[in-house]
Amino acid sequence: MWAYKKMLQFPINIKKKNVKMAKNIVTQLGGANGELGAALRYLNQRYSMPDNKGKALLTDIGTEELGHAEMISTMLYQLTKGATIEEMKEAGFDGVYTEHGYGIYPTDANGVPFTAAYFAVTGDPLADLSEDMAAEQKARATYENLINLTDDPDLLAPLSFLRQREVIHYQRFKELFDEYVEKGLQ
Amino acid sequence: MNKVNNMYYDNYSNVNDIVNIKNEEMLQKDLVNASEGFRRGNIFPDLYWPYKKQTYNFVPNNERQRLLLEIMENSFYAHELNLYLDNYTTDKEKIDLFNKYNDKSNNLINEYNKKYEPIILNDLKEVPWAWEESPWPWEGV
Repeated sequence: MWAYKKMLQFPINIKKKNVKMAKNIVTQLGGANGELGAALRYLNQRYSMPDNKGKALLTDIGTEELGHAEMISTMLYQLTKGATIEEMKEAGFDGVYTEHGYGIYPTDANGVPFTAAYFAVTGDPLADLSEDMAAEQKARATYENLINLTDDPDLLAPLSFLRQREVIHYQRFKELFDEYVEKGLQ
Repeated sequence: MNKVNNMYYDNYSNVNDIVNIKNEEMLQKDLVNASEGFRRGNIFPDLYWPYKKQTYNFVPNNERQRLLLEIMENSFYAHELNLYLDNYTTDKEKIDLFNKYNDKSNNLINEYNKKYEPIILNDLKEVPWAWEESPWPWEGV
């Protein structure tokens, strides 16, 4: 089970409203390489890991990803809070407003809703861990694209933090993958 | 170490509280200290892969924010060691270090719960129900 801590993993305090950036950042919540997909990927794959090491690592990283989904949602909330209808229209966010008002809904940057088809569970630890490594690299690349799209330090700080977490997660998955290959585990 | 080239919370005032490096933590040669690790999002210097050579500094502007930041830093340090230990289960030194930071983080959370508002559902005796009496994390720190 899980217990909630009423805090973020990393502070987010965005002072400048920016609906356009919200429209881009939402992909890290509900896009193919987003945090929600990451959390569900690892938390579903963990059951078929061959040993306690794999079960532990996927549980712990999957849990951290839930916290990252909360961080991305926090950014979306703060970037759009108090935005006028005019600002929504200007940013091309009026379609999102029509469907969801000021609510936070997981889609990619083009408005395509989140789907479980973004991740796989094969039951094969090497196949699953390969996907996990690729997913971390794709999320890292997406964070770099987002970092290139803004110069607001209130956004750059949490985006850089989250990007760096992809680096660490990739490393841990790779260590486990290499160990399983060496042991001939499948 | 990367140059701190941007103030994160530009309404904050005193940078020295945070960039002060605690000597004890520096004894751990293969890790950066808790504050630096938190700002980087990575406590392992050999795994650190920055983008555009940027890290961001932030300084709390009151006691509540200072304590919350300290909780985040210590929890993060413990969490990083947790992930490391999942793969390297016999590293006694890191297990001790995990316990040190995990204990510190738990103690700070209890202190925050008492002084300010609940982070965890623990020891909530007030009426009305204290869990609802404080802002939610997405509403700002």
